[in-house]
Amino acid sequence: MFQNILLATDGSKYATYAAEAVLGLVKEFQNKDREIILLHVSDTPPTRSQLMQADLDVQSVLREKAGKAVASTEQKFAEADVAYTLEVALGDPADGIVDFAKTNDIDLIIIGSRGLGAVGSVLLGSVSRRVAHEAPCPVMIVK
Amino acid sequence: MLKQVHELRNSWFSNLRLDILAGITVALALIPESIAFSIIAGVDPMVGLYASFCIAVTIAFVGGRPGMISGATGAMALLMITLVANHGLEYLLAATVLTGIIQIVCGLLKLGRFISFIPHAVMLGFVNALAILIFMAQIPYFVGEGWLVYGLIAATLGIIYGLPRLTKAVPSALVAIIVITTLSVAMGFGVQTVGDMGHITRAFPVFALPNIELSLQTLMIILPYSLTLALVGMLESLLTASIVDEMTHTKSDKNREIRGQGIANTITGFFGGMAGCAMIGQSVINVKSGGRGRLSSLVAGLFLIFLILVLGDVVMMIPMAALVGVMIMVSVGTFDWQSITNLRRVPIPDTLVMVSTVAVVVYTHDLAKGVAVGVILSAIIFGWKIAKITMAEELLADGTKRYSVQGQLFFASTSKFVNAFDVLGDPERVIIDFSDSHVWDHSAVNAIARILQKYKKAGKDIAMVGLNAASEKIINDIGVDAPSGH
Ligand SMILES: Nc1ncnc2c1ncn2[C@@H]1O[C@H](COP(=O)(O)OP(=O)(O)O)[C@@H](O)[C@H]1O
Ligand SMILES: [Mg+2]
Repeated sequence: MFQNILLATDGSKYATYAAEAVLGLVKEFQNKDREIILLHVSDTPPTRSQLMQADLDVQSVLREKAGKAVASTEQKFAEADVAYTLEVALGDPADGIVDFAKTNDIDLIIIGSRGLGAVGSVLLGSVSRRVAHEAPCPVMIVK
Repeated sequence: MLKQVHELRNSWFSNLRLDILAGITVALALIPESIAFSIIAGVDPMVGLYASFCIAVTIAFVGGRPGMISGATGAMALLMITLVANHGLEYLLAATVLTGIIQIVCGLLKLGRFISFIPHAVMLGFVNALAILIFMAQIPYFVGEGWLVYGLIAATLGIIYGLPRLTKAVPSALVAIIVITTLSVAMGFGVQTVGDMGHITRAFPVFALPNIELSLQTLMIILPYSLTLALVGMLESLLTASIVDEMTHTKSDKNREIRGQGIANTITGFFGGMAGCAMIGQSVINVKSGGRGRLSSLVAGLFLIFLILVLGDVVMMIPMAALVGVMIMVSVGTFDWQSITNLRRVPIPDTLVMVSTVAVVVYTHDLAKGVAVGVILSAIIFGWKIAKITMAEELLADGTKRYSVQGQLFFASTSKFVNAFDVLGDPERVIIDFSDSHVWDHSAVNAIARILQKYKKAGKDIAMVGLNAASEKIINDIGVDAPSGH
C-alpha cells in the first residue's frame, strides 16, 4: 500500500523532521517489536444499568461498547495476522486520544480525516483537527 | 505534614484556571434542573437552588471524588413527593438532615461496597420508573395548555437536541431556556412561569433548625424516606464516582465520598435545602470542560448563588414550558432504552422483576415501594431458582452406589437432598459426588451429617467426593461427626 511515498520538503527544520519520520517509519515497520494499539474513546458515559450489571467496572462496559464499535477493524487485523491491543477511554474523543498518547509514550498517531459525523465537504473532522493540533507526537491523517 | 500540604494544594489548586471555568459552566447547567426538581418535589424553587449551592460547596471540602458535582437531583426529588405532599417542607428538611446522618454512619462503617448488591433488574426498573415519573410530573404543565405552550416546549426540545450538532461549547439546555425566556418576555406571551410556582428569594440561605416536633412519631414519619434517600443518594454517588474515576484516570475514596454526601446533606437540611446527591450529567460536563479539582465544585456552588442573587428576578420569568422541555430531555436520557430492545434476550423472571418495579412505582408514585417489591420478588425468584437441586443415582461397576448432587445445597434445598437417600436399600459402599454442587450453610452441613450418621449406623461405608474448597471448609469448620440438633 505504501510503495511510493512522497516526502514534500522545503528544506526547513520541520521538513527535516518529516524526513526523519519517513526514515524512522520505514525502519520501524520491519521491526518486530513495534506495538500497535487500537484506541476507542467512548463519548457518552455508560448507563446506570450497564454500570450496575458490570459491578461498577467502567472499563469492562467500555470494552464491550468498543468491541461492537471496532469489530470490523479487529477483524481486519486478525485476517492480516497483525497483533494489536485494544484500549478504551471515556470522555471527549480528541482529549482521550491526546491524553493516551501523552501518558503512553506513543510515537505516531494514525487517524482518519473524517469520522462518523462526516457531513458535507469539510476536509477534517473535529477530532482529527484537534488531535493534529494537540498531539505530543507526529500525526498521520489518512484520507 | 509536608505530604498533606502537598496533597491539599494538589487537590485544590493544581488546575486553577480550568477548574474555575468548568465550575462556571456547571453552575449554569445546575440552574434549570435545580428549579425543575424542586417543582417536582412540590417545594419552592429556592429549596432546590439552596440545596445545589450548599451541597456543591460542602462536597468541595469533604467529598472523596474531586471533580464530581453534586446537587439537587431528580432521583432524590422523586422520593420526596409524598412526604412533602402529606407533611410539608419542614419534614422534608428534617428528613434531609437524617438522610445525611445515615450516610455519615454508612461512610464511617465503610458500607459503600455493599450497594451493588441491589439486583440488577430492580435497578433497571428503578431507573425506568424514575424516567417515567419525571415525564409524568411534566404532564400537568402542558396537557390542555394550548398550542402556544406546545410550541414553546417543541422549540425548547429543538434547541436542546439541535444545538449540540453545531457547537458543544455551551450547555444546550441553558441556551434553550435563555432563548425561550427572552422570546416569551419580549412577545408578552403571558404563559405560566417559574414565578407562578413560588418565589425566588435573592438572599443567601440562613441556618435554621427544621421546625418540627422532636418526637418518636416524627421520626417514624421521616425515617423511611431518609433511609431510601440515603440509599439512592449513595448509589447515584458511587455510580457517578466510577464514571469520573474512569474519565480522569484517578481513583476516588468511596467511603469518604459517602461520608461527604452525608455531611453535605446534613448541612443542606439546616440551610433550607432538600437532600441531593452526585449528578451524572453535571459531573460529565465538569470533567469535559476541564474540571478536575475540588475548586471546580466550590466555584460551581458559589457562582450558582451569585447568579441567583443577581438574576433572581430573571429566573422567575422562565416559562414553565422551557423547564418542561428540559425535563423531557432528562427523562428521555434517564430511561434505559436498551432494556426495551433487550426484552427478548433477558430471562423472563428478570423482565418480570423489572416490569413489576416500574408498575408499582408508576401506580403508587413511590420509588421506595417499587424497589421494595422488586427486591422481594427477586429474592423469591432467586430462592426458587436456586433451591432446585437434582439428585442422580448410579450403580457403579464395583457395586458402589453413587449419588450425584447437582445444585446449591442450603437451608431451602436440604430436604430434597436428605429424601433422595435410600439408606436401607443401598449397597455396602456409597459415595456422594458434590462436583456440581456447593455447600452453603449450617443447615446443609447438618443434613450431610445426618446422612453420614444414618449410613454409619446401618454399618455401611460412605464417602464424599468432589467437594470444592469452600464447601470443604464449611464442612470442616462446622464438622459432620457430631451433628448439632436433628
Ligand atoms: N471516539 C473516537 N475514538 C477513537 N478515534 C476517533 C473517535 N472519533 C474519531 N476518531 C478518529 O478521528 C477521525 C476523524 O473523526 P472526526 O474528527 O470525528 O470526523 P467527523 O467530524 O467526520 O466525525 C476518525 O476517522 C477516527 O480515526
Ligand atoms: Mg466524529
